[in-house]
Amino acid sequence: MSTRIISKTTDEELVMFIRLDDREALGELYNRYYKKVFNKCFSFTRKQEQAFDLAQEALMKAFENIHSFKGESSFSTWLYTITHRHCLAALKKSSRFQFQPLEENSGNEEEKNDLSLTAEENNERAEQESIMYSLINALPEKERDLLNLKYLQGESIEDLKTQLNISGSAVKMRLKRSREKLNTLYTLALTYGLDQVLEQVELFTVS
Amino acid sequence: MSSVKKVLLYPFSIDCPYFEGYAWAMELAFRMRASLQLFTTISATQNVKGSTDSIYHSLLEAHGHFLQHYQHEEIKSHEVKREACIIQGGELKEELISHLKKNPVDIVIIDSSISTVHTSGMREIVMESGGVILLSEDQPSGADKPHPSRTDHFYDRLRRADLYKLPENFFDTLGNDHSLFNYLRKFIQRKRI
Repeated sequence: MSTRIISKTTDEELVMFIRLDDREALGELYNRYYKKVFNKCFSFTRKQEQAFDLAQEALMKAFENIHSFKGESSFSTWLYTITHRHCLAALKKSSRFQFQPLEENSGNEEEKNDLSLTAEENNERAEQESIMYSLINALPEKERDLLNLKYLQGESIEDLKTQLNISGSAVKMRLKRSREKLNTLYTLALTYGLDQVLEQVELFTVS
Repeated sequence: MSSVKKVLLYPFSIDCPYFEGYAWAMELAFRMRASLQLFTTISATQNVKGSTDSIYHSLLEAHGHFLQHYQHEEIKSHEVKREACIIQGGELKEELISHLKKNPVDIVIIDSSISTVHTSGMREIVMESGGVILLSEDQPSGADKPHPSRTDHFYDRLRRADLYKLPENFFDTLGNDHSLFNYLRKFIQRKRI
């Protein structure tokens, strides 16, 4: 394939060529995404070195398993899902967050719904979760810890009251404000892009 | 051969072409079951975040080049542990020598494209490391010659490289690599013809 043509080829067509052992197609597809994968990993870790490690691992994972791409979603969604899961797994492993597995917080109904989701919807959900985790991660420590304790680790208001040494209504108020802030950031991230929001997250303070 | 994992170091500068050298260093690391340190410097006056971003992007791009041109069934690059080592402050040669003094490595692979390192710093680098491989410029295969296989290309570059103070077991280590046998066999066959 000539360079002129390959640059206009869609991702999914490139995958097809890669399956026919077209090295040029592999180079083109890789080059389209390696920076985006790095930036995505950075949005999780906020540390370049870690982001580099995760990015190279996620890229390897994706490109060495490109034959398992079935085309049920776009290539970019597939790649970002792999990256997202890889980052989450690494973060969990490093215990930076003590995440409860999401299934443990979900009821049976939600689990059933998960199973009935199409691959596209699953990918979309993974993408939304990824944005949310990145935003939580970027919040000031107190707010981040509070949201993690309440929504990821399932602590009760009573437990939080004792742990933070404040009244129940103060816990509720802090939670409400942090939630509202997160919702605003999430909406902004969907509108203007996650990176833009992460760069300016400190401008949003909870009063 | 010692069971302790070997450490190779590849110094590079994003201002000089280094993808071919990186690919060769990757392949050597794979064949030796070694880990690979990727060493570079940024100037103290540069915007650190922006400069390190460029370096990480460039390293990812270099790996894409490797995947495109050198990855083959024998070589599984995910098995090679790579670590970027970015030093802020000084000149590449000086920082490299100082790094080697504090962090000894088994082999340093130097690309002839980094002229500042190989012209004036070789003696000290050889002194401070377990051994040095100085890669000569890559020779593109001529139109009249058949394109070498990837394994041939790797050993051709090794043959043309200058080797300094390499550990005695270096070739034994590489000798465990079955493709070497095949390469030598073909080489000998060619000589006979």
